[in-house]
Amino acid sequence: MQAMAGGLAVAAGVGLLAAGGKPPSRASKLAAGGAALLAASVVADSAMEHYRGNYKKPAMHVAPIAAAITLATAVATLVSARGARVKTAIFGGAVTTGLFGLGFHVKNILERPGGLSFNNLFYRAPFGAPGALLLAGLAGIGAVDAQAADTCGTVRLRHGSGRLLGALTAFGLFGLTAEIGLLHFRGAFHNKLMYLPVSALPLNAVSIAYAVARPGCRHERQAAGWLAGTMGLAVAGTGLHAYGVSRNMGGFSNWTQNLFQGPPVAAPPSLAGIAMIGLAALDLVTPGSEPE
Amino acid sequence: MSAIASDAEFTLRATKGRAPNVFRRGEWVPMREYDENEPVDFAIVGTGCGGSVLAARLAEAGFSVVAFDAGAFYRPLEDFASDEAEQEKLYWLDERISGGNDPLEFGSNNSGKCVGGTTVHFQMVALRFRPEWFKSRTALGYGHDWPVDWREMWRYYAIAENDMKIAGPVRYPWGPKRGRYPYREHELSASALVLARGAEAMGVKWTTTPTASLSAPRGEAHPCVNRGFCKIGCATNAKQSMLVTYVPRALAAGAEIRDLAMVGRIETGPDGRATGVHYHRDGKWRFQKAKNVVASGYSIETPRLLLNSASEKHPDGLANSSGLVGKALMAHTNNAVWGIMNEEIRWYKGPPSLAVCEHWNYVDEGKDFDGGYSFMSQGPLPTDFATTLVENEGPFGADLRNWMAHYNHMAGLKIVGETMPNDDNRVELSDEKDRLGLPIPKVTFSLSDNDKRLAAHAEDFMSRMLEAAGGSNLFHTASTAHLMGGCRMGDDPATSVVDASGRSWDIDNLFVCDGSLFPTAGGVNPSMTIVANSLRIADRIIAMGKRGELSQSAAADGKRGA
Ligand SMILES: Cc1cc2nc3c(=O)[nH]c(=O)nc-3n(C[C@H](O)[C@H](O)[C@H](O)COP(=O)(O)OP(=O)(O)OC[C@H]3O[C@@H](n4cnc5c(N)ncnc54)[C@H](O)[C@@H]3O)c2cc1C
Ligand code: SF4
Repeated sequence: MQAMAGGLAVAAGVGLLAAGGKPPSRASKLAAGGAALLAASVVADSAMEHYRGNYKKPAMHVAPIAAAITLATAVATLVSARGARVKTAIFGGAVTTGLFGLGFHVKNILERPGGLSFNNLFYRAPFGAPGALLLAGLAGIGAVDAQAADTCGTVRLRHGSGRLLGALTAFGLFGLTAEIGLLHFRGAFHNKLMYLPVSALPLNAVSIAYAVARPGCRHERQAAGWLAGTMGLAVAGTGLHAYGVSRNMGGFSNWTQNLFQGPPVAAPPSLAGIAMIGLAALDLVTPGSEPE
Repeated sequence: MSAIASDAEFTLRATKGRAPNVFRRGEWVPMREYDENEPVDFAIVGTGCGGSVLAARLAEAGFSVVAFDAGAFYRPLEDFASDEAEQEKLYWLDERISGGNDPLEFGSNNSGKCVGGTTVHFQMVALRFRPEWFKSRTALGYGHDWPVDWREMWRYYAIAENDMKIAGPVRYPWGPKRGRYPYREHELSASALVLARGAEAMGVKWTTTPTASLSAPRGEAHPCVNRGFCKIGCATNAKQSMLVTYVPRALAAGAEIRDLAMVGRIETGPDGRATGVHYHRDGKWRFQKAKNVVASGYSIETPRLLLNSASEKHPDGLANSSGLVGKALMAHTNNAVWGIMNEEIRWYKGPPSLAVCEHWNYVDEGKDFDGGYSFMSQGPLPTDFATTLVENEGPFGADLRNWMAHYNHMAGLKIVGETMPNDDNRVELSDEKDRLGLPIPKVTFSLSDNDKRLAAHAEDFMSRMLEAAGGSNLFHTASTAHLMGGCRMGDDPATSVVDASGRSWDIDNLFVCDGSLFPTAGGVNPSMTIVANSLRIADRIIAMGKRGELSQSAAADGKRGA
């Protein structure tokens, strides 16, 4: 039922918001694509996890639905520049939902025996999922903003928009480092490759922050290199998580249980989402990248 | 009739140059074999926490090793069923005569019979001794001192925990600082949360139990999937029993394992020294020559073997000049409090004892007894719990059904309570013979007044705690678990059977290495201490070898006789 409602919302949303209108600028597309990937990852993750939690509280329906709507809006933003105000409002809703989600998840942790203990941080409601929805909403708003900046075309507006998206990327990368760090620590870094994202992402965050802070300083290429690396991590991570699932008893022939058993296959793609937001930021601050 | 098609109990599996690969269905690993007439450096009797650890370490150091086990060599993935009755095949159910005021019940609660020993069906609680317990006589005024320093043991605990990839809390709240556990703690089950809530209400510390079950993959072993069948044998290999840790290591290092091989006697020569072991395998008695013999059959079978090996030079049994072989046998008291919770618990899910409280191991004030106890959350499987109910409360028929209807809402707290070493609690040989013609052991066990005071204190404390956690309709049960002692190690030949290296005071090429060495029981489950102690003994034996102090100078480092 959840899946059907989500599917309908996506289809209707894309239809309504994408009908007609001119195609958006490259930066806007990249940011919207990033928002879409992040939202898709939240849809998959929250639908699965809340299903596992039997949708015990009605509020648990909110996350997958909000994420599906965000996904639809992001896809619409990707294909059409139309309906900026409605889109911003919907993305604002995603931000609010993400913030509330974070609050709920903190409450869930603090109410349990042990409070802010490792056991609760490892296994209770994660910060990452509502955090990703928050990021998706912000990236969506950024995509709409980038379109406006590109349409107007002044360097000042474009740099301003690029800085915001760059800051968002750095913030997201640091957040992801914390989350991946916690969960890979839970897995005792049993495979040395698990150190890779936690060491690479913070460096990527610094490089993108640096590139957008001083536009035109030719640090864009470096930052773009790091972002490409993060994209690579997203692909490799998804593969490695799938391998992780296969190491559970029964492997993929018992997928109905083992996909829940983890590691989460839907998590690493969100890295690609963040990287796309970073690429949008770079596009806005790189001299000579203005749309014709 | 077996629910599962396994020929392990009837057919030799470790033979013809190969042994079961425990990580794969139907597959094998190569195994080195030794000639019975060529004396091997070490013949080890038993492959539990004592025998398999020693076999692995000594083989890795280059000694030739043959380890015997009376039980079968299983592949958990194909041989273990999710069926309590089927899995009784893991217990040592050979006849034993049990007496005393509190006769021990043998089988499910204290001894296993298979390659890997009792850990194949243990409950995976992986605790360390309180440091002072290694000097309980001098530091705490009861029992006997261990002939080892706690810091040395602390080092070996860390190695043991890493070898078994223990999943434990990031910070352990009691005792001196310990390094980080190699794997992270498991998710707390609902039954563990009951203990946590109760402890917080009573103002005492609690923690996630360090557990010998994988919280992440390890090689070919799958991570734990919370099936909850741990106590009857884990079918995923998440449980880090000796069968999937030290046994494969021993084989890989060139040790030979002989399954379904019951050792009946250790032979001694005219000079009184050990020459090898008589064992029954494949329908007949055989003899393996050895330069050194190690008894690792646990607290009943090790004394039984030593006593049954009496000879002209050793009329009272081997290593028995002190008269202490078989004496000071200890068990842990296992008193428990159970109650019905409002919320659904489903305590069969996950490893059964995921939360622990060691408060009364580390606090000495407010006690009217010597020793300590820990207690853990519980998750008995249905038959196990119904048996506990019937044995203690006596409900039957409709009454029992009513009780069992609460199964999914029950929670419990159970102690591992220290009992005092008492020479009257002992293993002897009876006049009756088993099917192989070996004398059946006779075990005498009585609780002391101190043991009873400890149990009463625990029941009172746990009742208040369970109530504080929301439990109602409380009831108590009593039983025992684990075995310790029977061949005490020590510093004085008059008051101990072996020295700190496990070497018998009387026969320099006879060793003991298992749970029977414990001078005191401690208030925690024994396995990690047995494994750590065995690792320590292995290092000492290897060092003796290097110094040329071993019998007929068994091959030292790297010089394996081909
Ligand atoms: C139900 C249960 C739960 C437990 N839970 C825990 C727990 O949670 N934590 C913990 O630390 N401990 C636990 N224990 C205790 C722990 O398993 C034992 O203390 C430990 O395994 C003993 O190790 P051992 O090497 O001394 O003997 P064992 O592991 O019993 O090994 C002895 C081996 O020797 C073999 N053998 C004996 N005599 C002969 C002979 N004459 N010839 C050939 N082979 C012989 C036996 O077949 C056996 O395999 C539990 C025990 C039980 C029964
Ligand atoms: S709960 Fe974990 S350790 Fe226990 S039997 Fe299941 S998989 Fe094995």
